[in-house]
Amino acid sequence: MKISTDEGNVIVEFIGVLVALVVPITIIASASVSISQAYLATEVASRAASRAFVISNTEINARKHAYAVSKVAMQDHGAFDNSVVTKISCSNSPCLSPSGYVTVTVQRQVSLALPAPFGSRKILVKASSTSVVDELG
Amino acid sequence: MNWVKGLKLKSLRAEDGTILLFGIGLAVAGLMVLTASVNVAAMWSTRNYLDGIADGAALAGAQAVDANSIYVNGLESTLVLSDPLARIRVEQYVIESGARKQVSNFKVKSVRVTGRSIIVTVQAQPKLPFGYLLPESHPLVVSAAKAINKVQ
Repeated sequence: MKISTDEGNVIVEFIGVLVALVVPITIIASASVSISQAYLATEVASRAASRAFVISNTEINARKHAYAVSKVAMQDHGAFDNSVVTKISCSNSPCLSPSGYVTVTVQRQVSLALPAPFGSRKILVKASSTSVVDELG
Repeated sequence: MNWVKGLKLKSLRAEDGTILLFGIGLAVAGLMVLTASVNVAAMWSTRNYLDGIADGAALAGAQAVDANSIYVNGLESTLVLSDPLARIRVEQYVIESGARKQVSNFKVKSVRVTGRSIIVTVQAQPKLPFGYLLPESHPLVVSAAKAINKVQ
């Protein structure tokens, strides 16, 4: 009985190991980068929007500015789709009452770039920022 | 010269099967890189969140104008911030923003009021998915922000 040798299999095994290791790591890294980027975008957008809201002179303008700033900030980070939702909540009524708190929450559905067998996966990334309305502004 | 030939053959033969070791080494290295990246990303996102909280808290604290100094010195003098009032404003902001629910062990490390400016330093512990692999299992993330009241 002849025992088969392992000679010549190194390249095949190396490619096998590389594919088995590198492909999942690449997929996970890609998904992580997408989520991190979306998180950064929502964080920046919510912070800028809440600041834009509290420095406005009227509530109508404040809402317009907040939504516009949020949209521009998200577009700066490559989010041109309609999956971005901006919500504004205030601690006092009217919203621009001195020393009142305004919280802007920006959320976005992020599609993860996964291989076809895994299907389409979406993750909701959300960030909120609170700003205080100037008393003396 | 035969011994050289024999040595070469022997050393070549000795490398048989090392691909498995190489694969295990590569897998361990890959996992280490992956876990380190996840931990760093978690720390970075905590830091980013704390930056926003420190910034907002400093802006809230910068509203704490010392009214007594206006009564004593009049409106002609420069407005200064009240240290106790600024601390209250910072605390109110922290409660309102819900920072303590968002990150673990959140703490306002210091509030320093100097004339018209305020520096707020906050700290928290990031939630690390693979924290047990780090030399220090409970690292602290610290962030500071400064705000100046420029109202004349």
